[in-house]
Amino acid sequence: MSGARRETAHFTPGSARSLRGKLTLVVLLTTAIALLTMTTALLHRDLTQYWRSLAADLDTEAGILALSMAPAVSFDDQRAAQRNLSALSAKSAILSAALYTADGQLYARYVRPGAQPPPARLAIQDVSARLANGRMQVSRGIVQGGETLGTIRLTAAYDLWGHVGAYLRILGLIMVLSMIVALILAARLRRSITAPVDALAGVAHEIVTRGDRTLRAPDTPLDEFAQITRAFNSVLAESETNTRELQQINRSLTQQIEETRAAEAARRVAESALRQSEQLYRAIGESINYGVWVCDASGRNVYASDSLLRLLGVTQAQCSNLGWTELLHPDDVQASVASWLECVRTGGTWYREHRFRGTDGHYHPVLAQGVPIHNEEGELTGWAGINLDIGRIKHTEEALRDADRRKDEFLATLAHELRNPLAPIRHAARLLGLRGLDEAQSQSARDIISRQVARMALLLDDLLEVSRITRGHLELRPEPVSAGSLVRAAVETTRPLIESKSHRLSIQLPEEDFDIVVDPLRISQALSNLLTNAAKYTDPGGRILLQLRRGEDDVVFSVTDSGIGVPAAALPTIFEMFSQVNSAIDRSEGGLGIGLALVKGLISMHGGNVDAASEGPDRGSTFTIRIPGSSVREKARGHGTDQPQRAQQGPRGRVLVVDDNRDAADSLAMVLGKAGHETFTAYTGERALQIGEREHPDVIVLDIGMPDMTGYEAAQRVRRTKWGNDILLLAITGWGQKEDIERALKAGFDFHMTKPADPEHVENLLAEYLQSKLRTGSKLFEEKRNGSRRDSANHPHRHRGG
Amino acid sequence: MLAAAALCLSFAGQSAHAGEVYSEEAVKAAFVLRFTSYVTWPEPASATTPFRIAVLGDSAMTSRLRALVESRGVGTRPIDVRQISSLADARDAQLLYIGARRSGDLPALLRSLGSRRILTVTDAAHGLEAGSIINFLVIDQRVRFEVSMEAARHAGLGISSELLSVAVRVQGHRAGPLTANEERR
Repeated sequence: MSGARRETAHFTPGSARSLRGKLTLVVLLTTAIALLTMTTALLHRDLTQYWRSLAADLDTEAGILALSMAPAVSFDDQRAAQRNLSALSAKSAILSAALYTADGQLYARYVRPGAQPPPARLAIQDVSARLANGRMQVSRGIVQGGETLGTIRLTAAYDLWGHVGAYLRILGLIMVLSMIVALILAARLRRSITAPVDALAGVAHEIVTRGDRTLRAPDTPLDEFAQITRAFNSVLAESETNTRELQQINRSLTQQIEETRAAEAARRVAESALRQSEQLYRAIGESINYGVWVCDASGRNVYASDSLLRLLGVTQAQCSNLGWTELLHPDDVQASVASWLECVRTGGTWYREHRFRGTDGHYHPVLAQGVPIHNEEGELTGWAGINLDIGRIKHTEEALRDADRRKDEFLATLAHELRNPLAPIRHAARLLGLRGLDEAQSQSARDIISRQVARMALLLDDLLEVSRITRGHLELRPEPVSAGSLVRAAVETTRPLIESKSHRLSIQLPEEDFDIVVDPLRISQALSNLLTNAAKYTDPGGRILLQLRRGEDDVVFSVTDSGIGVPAAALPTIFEMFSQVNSAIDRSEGGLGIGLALVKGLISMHGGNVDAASEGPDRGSTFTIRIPGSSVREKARGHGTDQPQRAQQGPRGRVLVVDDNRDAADSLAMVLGKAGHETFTAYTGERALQIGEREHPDVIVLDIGMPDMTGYEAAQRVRRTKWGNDILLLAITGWGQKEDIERALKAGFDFHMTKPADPEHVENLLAEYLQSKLRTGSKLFEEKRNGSRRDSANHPHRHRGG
Repeated sequence: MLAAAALCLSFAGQSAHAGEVYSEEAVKAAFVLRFTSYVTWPEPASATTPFRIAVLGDSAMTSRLRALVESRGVGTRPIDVRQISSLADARDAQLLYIGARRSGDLPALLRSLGSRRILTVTDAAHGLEAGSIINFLVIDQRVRFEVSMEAARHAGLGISSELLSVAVRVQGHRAGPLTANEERR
């Protein structure tokens, strides 16, 4: 026992898992099961007997009552019946009694105080005993002389649960007593059986936990356990010596293992470092787009990076040694191999450009570069180098050179084109400076200047437009517009040129006009370009036919001339940039060769196409524009606003012209002054604000690029003044890009015009503005302002000519 | 009202119609038949010989008795009901019912019977004094009866104590309980 007590941490002697616990459990369980079985049987028997005896008692009682009741019922003596029933009060078990007549009516009754009274009618005519709601009922018939006179029914308490409860109390008491006795017996049994086992287990546990092998199990009186104990002790003695030897062996083994482990760890660290560095180099080799290669001291290739092998489409084996030379361009092989061998001989660096055949079958220009590698002793161990595919660089180089050449050509052409109109302008200016010039002569000179300036402006507009299209900066603003008006607008624009060459222009329009949804400016621009072309490339006095047709699912504009025609070979490229047919023939007509490219671009943006046809040189040509019919609409209104009414004799206003270029400012002021307006000029922004403050002009025409302040700033400041917040502000600049226009509108300008601004257009705007201001206090004009801002700003040339 | 209901209930066993109110005469007829169960005659009655009832001075009672007898179940002793006009006709009867109409000469009639083994049932104000064994009374509108043990002994008939226990009055009885019963009233 003492041994067992010491090791409660390991196993609890009382618990169900110990031998002692199991013994106790067995004794208790056996006792409990025996008692329970017995109790159940007894309870069952007792309950049966209880029920039977109660039923028998009641039945007897009912029989006696039935007999004594017969006369009372017979002779209808209710008192006598009641008297008889009352005698039942002596029987405490009987809760109630009832006498029913033969037809089930209650005749007399007895009810024990607190009990439930019997029903007024007898429902079930049975004579046997039955149980209901913890009560027992017995019925008996009253028979006299073969005649059933009625029924007596007795109800007694049947206290099942009280009975069972009493029984269980007794059982519980017996159980507790039995258990106590059983526990005492189990304890005695345990002491004799489990004590030696506990002692043995305790010693074993002690040895395991403390490792003290000198412990021995105590002797025991029981024979079987004595044997076990002796055997256990001898095993312990033997294991003690064995353990000592094993511990020694174990120590030496552990030492060896430690040493081996240290060596292994060191090796792993070294290996991992090596692997890392290898991976690093490989990663470098793969990540750069160059092929990396390594050769040994005798010049044989030993390594080529995957990127190089991929480019050449060979394996490392095919590339090794001098295998790579087989992939060289036949023209390069000899020189390259010789150069390499020379390099190997001298041990120097290698630098060479040659061509390799790639997987795509093409030869790629490759720049090979290698440096010699020396070891610590200074001996040459090989070369490491890269192969760089310089194909793209070469290509870019060529493209740049080409572009440069084209730019030079273009600049030459441009200079020529710009210079061309200058000569007539200079002549005309000189003419105007001469005295004694009659009116017709001076008018002619003015016309020349006006025409040539118009040409230059047209040239620059085309140039800007093409640039916008190619950069994708041009946006279409489609709107329903009369097809006829487009034709008329184009004719208006080109009429001066056509008339100057005395061409005969015929126009064929369909009988009924119709609307199409297009950007009207772009389409009339394309048409006028075609007309200009026709006029230019037709000898004076030629014929030009402009046709408008409605096809089945498209709208067709065509311009036919009797001019110099187009050679068949030139037809396919005629719409390309800078292409000019036989420009030498008619240099005087000039052109940058962008007119047709512009037409094609504009029409393509509308989803249409343009083509050229010619039967050959000197046989004329026809240019046809087709625009998809989905943009066609029936003309809804009558004659629309084809051309805004020109205000020839509009009201006069006060106009301030601001430009740091004094000539520009003065000349525009003069033109406007001639038109009847009162004009002022300013050459700086600051001055403009002063004059504005003083004169309160109706309109200010502002240059954007001025030294003292930008036109944007000036506009903002004007808008902040009391006099300037509602006047008409026009921007006239050399900056015609979309962003410039937006910036101008944001700064407070109403309209934006690119230089050179057409004085007539400025005049028209002024007239309209002043007129509406007179009429409605500028509200009507407000709509025009918002609606036509962009148009007026970008295309002042629309209203030019005619 | 209560009495009528009690009468009705009492005889429900003989009628299929519960709730039918029985007349005084009907109750009396039923009582007459039932008396036979509580009275013993000296000579044992065989099951086959009919039990004879003679009715004097009340032909309505005769027909009622006959009706009741007919309604009795099979297997009971046969009963013969006879209407008589003189006592001579009642010679072999075991029960004699004398109607109220003959109350006047009741003492003479009964005297003439002497000690014959016959149960006399009367319906008169002083029936027992006149010498009858059972006499009908109506108390609180209920049909009751009184018994003369003296007359019964004279006729040599045995009356069951059960019958006496429900009688209103027992004349010439030796034992006490029934006297006590009387006292309780």
